[in-house]
Amino acid sequence: MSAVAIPLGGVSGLTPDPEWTGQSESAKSLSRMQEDIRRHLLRSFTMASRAEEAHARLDDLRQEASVQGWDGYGAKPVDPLAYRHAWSFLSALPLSAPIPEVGADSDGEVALDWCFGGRKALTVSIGPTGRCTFAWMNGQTTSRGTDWIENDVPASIVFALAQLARAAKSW
Amino acid sequence: MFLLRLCLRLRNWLVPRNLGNSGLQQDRQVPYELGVKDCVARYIYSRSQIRTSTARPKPAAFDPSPHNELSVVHTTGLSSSEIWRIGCLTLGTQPGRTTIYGKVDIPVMALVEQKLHAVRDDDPFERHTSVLGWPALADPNEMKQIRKAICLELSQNPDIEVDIPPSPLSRERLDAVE
Repeated sequence: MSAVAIPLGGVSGLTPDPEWTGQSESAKSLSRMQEDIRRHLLRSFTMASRAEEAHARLDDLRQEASVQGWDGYGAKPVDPLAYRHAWSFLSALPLSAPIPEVGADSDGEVALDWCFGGRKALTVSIGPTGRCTFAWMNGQTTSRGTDWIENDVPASIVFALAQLARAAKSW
Repeated sequence: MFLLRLCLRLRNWLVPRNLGNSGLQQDRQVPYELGVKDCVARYIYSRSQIRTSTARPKPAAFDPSPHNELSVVHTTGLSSSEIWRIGCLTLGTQPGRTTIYGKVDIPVMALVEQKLHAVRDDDPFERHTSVLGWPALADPNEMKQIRKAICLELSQNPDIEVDIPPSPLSRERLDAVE
């Protein structure tokens, strides 16, 4: 007998695109079940509308930042691969996380920003390789780092969001 | 870069301290470093760089890429309408330079706190100023991190304010007004 854990939400609490390596019939069956559950969740009103809003913001950005110099200062257009990684990132955001403001950096990376007020903020840049460069502040505490999208929102960013959300509630 | 900064500092020591009086600055030769009591403004040509719900700049509004410097205008001593007029003169027909959605007013002190400095160079137009001193590191990950942290600090600084006009400014609108 074997036990299989289905990573429904990974660290983030939402369903990433499945990456299934099992070859047996059981594994394939579980993979199909996971995908069905994921699609069902994404069809639900709350989650679908949140995901759609985030993706709509991203699409608006791609349209605005589609040409060289879109920001008036010579910025590169949004990189298509950065856009795809940002799309995956937004799809896998925790249910409890607020939808970020969507923008772009001058180097073509997608920038996601959360502001909870009173020096509680997080900014994440997503690059064409899936690199997530982030910086956040919680009062006088500041932190920064680099992480990578691997089928889910990086744990370091989920941690930062959780810290900020908790601090904002108690503020 | 080091020598350039040294020369700028030496020259600044030899001229009267800049106390934010625009009359004093007319006698100075560019380039020169602005003082901590000066103000600069960054024109915003993209809606995505302003958080309109709270009228705050996003970190990306301060991103110094791709030229490793932030282009601003020296606004000390100017009225609000004069600042907008300069902004309208920067508009053109090329992509990204057709509309101004706002400006970010930045005290030079806020830049100095981040170890940046504002150098007025009057190039390509009078009062043009470059914000320099952005960290340049061999490790691109580290460099991006540090720059994001600086941009986040600037975006959260309460002394830095966004000024949004009643409606976006365009060259056509300026021509119509004139």
